[in-house]
Amino acid sequence: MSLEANDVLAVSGLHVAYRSGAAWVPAVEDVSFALRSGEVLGLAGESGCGKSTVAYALLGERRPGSSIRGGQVLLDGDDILAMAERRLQPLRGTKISFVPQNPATSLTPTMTCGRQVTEVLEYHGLAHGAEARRRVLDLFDAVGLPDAAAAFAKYPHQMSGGQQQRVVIAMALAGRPRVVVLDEPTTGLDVTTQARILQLLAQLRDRFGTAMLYVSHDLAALAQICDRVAVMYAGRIVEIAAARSLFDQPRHPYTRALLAAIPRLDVPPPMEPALKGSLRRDELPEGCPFTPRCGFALPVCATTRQALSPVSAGHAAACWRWRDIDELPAGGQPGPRLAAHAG
Amino acid sequence: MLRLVATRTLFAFASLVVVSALIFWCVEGLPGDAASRILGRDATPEGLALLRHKLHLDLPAAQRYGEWLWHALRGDFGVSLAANRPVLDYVWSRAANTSELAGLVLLLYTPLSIVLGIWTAISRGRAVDHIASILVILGMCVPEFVVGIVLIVVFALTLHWFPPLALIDRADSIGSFLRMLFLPALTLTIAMTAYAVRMMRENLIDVLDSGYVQMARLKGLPRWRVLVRHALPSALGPAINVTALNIAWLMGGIVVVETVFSFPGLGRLLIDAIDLKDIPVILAVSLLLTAVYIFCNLVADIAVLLLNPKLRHGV
Amino acid sequence: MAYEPSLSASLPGGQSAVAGRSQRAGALRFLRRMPAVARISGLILIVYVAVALTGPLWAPYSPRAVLTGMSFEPPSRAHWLGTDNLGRDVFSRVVVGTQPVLAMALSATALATIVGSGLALYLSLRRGLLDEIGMRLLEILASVPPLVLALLMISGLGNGNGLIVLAVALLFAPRIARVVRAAAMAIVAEDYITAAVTRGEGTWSIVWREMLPNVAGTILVEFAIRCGFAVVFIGALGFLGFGAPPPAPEWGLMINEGRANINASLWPVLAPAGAMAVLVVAINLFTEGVARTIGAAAGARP
Repeated sequence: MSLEANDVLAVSGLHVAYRSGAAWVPAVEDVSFALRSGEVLGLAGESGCGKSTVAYALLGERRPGSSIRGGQVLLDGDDILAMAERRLQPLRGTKISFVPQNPATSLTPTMTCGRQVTEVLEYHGLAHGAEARRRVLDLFDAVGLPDAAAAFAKYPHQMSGGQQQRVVIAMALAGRPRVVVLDEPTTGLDVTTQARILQLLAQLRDRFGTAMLYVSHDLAALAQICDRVAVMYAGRIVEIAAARSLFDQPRHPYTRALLAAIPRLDVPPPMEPALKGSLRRDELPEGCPFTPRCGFALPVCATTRQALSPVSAGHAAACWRWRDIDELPAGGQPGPRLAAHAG
Repeated sequence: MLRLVATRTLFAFASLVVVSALIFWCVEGLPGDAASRILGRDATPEGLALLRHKLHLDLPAAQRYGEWLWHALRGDFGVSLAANRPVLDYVWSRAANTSELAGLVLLLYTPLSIVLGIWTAISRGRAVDHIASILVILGMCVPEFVVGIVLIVVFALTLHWFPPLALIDRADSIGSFLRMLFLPALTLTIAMTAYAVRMMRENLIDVLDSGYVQMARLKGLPRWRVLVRHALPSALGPAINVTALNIAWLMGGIVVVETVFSFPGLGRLLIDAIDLKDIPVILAVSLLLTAVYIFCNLVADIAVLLLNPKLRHGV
Repeated sequence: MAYEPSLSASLPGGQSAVAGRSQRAGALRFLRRMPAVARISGLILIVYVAVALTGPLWAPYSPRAVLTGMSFEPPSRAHWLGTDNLGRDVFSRVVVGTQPVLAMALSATALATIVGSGLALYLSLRRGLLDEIGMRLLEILASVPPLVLALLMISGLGNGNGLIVLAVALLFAPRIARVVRAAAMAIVAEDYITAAVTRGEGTWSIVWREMLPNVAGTILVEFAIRCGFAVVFIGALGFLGFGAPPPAPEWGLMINEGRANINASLWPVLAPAGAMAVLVVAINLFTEGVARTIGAAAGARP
């Protein structure tokens, strides 16, 4: 992905590994993508594919036991990964902010919600005292908290999960950042609340023009809010496209399997599960990591690395057989015609 | 929540009453005759009868307990058999000495444990932390009387910086008084600080690893602010809890340390009274030490309840 | 000092009959995973136990033999740690004194652990009025400063070793019960317990077969830590003159006896003090190491 003029965030060659015994196991390998101003990019994949690690890396945060081994994260031209903590502090909350997965454990229990948000403004010198309070009350209204003044004085444990998440979102937007990174923001909330939070995010995107990186394993949620979606597997991006394109015309076997695994009301569930087995980090082949579970794989897949190759405008997939992919039935097994080629 | 605090307090008082009976039974109601134990081999039958009458031993134990408790509640603990003084002011003057010792201990312990607790938690894994954990293990495992004797050998007998015994009644100036107080206070401080540092470090590390501390960092706040405004407030409750438990522990610690340094406090008084079989004094001092012990445990429990934001601000 | 173990996990090796070899292999692997500090501590503990068991057989002098040399001799080839005020050999006295300390500490703690855990587990299942009263009584017993109560009991009932063991056990039992109860509460609501109750199993049977394997780790860690406290506590009693009477080679007593003449010689004090300190430190480090290894194995992530 080349850096274009209105890219607010450009990630290239991100490598993150974590320590397992004496060895370093890669968690994220050679991930590159760009986020344009005002767009919502989704990052999809199963648990353990490395998407959360990518999210944290965008703020320069290393999860315990992991180390960023290489790559660049350019935020408006500055490389986040090359900065010391001290230089990162003024950027966090003001240029790039974070919405974590579990709001209950992300809010300090000994501080009122209002105080935790005004802290962002006051500490970064954006507003003080009464002005800060006014802005936070406006934000609380904007994120849909029913009684902003009451919420301001409440402690986190006095609120429901949905309300807590709204507070966290307000906290992330307080500094009017250019990018907001959201790590599974609706997982753990009930379905109705999820829908409302998604609606809220869409509204906020329209109102403030913030670019968002939305990390989730929930394809349905991504479909609702994202402009573009990148699919990750075993630490690599295997497909990236405009949301519409990805969901209508997936070009990578993994994406197809993921989509097929979504239960539908109008079609009975297939006899064979679309996605067999699970990601085994210790059994990855040299070539394409999806080979063991791919219903489309040929022996050569196990030994040849796949790079993202352009499929059409703005759509890339890391599978050399992307052209023939339509011959793969939705269930993930090769059709009779292909079986003759297999082997 | 207030109900919890009230129930706990009530139970503490009830415990004190029950324990007073237990102590009384231990001292007076045990098999064997208190009078013959006191008079020993020189006992004559007349002497025994007289003493028994004087000590009311001819009354049933329950009644004796009742009388004792009744008087005790009014502050009358009887007369010391050994010193022939009213027990109360005898105990009081010793208690004052012990309080001064405890005061110095707290003065040393509080900043030391806070600073070390925070410092080792922030620098976990590094050299400072490893050295500190060795010192903590030593402080917790080496018995106080050993620590005291080592301090005497090093600082009093070898370096002559402090006197080896704390005979404060003979102190002729504030300076010499403090110097006498220092080594016993240091001995107790070492044991208490070791325990506190270990507990506080564990607790603070849990807090520092929590999601909300990480979130505070991701908001762009500098480390010191994250520590002071977001991490430490959550560590306050456990810190007070540990301190209260430490003070409770002192009730046993002073007995040993005052003996090592010949310090004229409550601990020494108890040992001497037991040696002399001075029953009224034994009862009074035991009850006093127990009352403080129960009180400190109560404070420890209440601190945890009150400082838990979830319980304090209600749902 | 109350110390809350931060890990509570079951020990490996349950009730089912597994081939002996795989159990041994598991144990060896387990030993290898322990940190070095814990392994060294474990070795030290083994040495102490060996000395306790065999000391009287090979100690160079009888611990009560006076005037085997001059008083207050410094360490020499004849007297490895010198002599004390009565000319007794310090090294022999320390060595022979190991047995009573270990025996008393272990038996007192074992008794306290069995009684305390048993009560805690039983009451946690029974709940209701019995539980309330039982736990309250234990709490009240734990409300007395331990040293004070021990002094009172010993002064009233005598200072025989058996009595000291009982007194220490009485003091430790409620505190152990408190810790075990906390662990028991965590599992008492689990389905397998409810199933056992519904099946009509007797309470003690449930305690033994369902609960015990799951809280064994907590209980053992608590036992080990309390053993360390017991050594210090018994030493303190000896130091204050409430333990075995002279001329017993009891470490606490030796420290007190040597204190008066510390200007003449340090060894009569430092030798037993050092022996005590090293023992307690070894117990603590070993227990911590084992607890961490179990915790790491139980909560291990791939």
